[in-house]
Amino acid sequence: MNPNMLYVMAGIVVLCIGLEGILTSKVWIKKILGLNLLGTGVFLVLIAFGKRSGQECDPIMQSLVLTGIVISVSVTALALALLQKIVSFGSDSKEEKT
Amino acid sequence: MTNERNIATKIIVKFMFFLMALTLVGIAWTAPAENSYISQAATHRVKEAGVESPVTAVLIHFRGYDTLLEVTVMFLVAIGAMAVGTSKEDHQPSLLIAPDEKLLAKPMIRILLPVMLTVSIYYLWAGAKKAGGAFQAGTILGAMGIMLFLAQKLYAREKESVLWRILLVSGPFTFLTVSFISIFFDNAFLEYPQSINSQLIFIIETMVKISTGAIFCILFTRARSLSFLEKTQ
Repeated sequence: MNPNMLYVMAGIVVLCIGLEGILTSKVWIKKILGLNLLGTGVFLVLIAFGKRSGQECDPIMQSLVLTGIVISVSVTALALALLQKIVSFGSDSKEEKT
Repeated sequence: MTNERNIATKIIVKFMFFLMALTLVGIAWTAPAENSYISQAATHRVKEAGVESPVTAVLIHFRGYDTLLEVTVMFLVAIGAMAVGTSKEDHQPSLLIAPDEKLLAKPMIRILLPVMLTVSIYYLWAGAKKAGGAFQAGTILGAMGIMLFLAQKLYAREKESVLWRILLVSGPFTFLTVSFISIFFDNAFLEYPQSINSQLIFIIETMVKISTGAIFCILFTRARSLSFLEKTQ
């Protein structure tokens, strides 16, 4: 077995944990963390998959991951800004955020 | 009763995610061992793009649409954060222990600032040949800006100044302008003239780097006030 397949499987596990966090958690900040975890898992899967048969790493996968990392940082920042706005509206959303 | 039901639901949900992981592993296991013809073509035709690094060639040239959309998404996120986020002076986080800090933070910044600038320019230059490029360089530039904010050399405002807005828009604007102008020289959209393509890619990368750094700075100043987390407890 190629060791890169191990990375692919680890990435899939991280991806599923992140997706579960997004879908089942009731805390907003945990949802944002889950989104980051999901992204990290996908990047690990893509990068390891591009190198699965020991050749040069697939340049298309590399640039997709490069694109994805920057987007994931931006999405996290926008989600935090939105969360800040939601909390600043006061007690209306109290049951959602705890 | 409800507690037991909750536990049963949780176990079922966990089992579903386990099944999903198994399915994904199965798909990955049975995938063909060779890379697709697209990536083989990308590796073999790097020379036509005007740069030696296949990643930069794919990013700016072969799959320019992706990168153009990415830069636009980042620009939109910065606009969204500017519209939604608040930046009040009294919430400004700071590295400085005292207002007249002379011991740690300011000397550290004096050493780190030229190093970070040099490394970010090196990454941009290295992007033509090996790993590196606009986004890596822009991230370092953004980290430099965040450091300056934390040391209170730069201040977050209620409304960003014209210079910040120009920096924000410079990346997407240059990318679109270069792509549109090259249409008038018998090229398709996002296809650059063969003779000057490496220069054009360098111009695009420089401007994308500057606007990436500026966008990260804006995002930090807008989403940085995490004091709201304490209120929820």
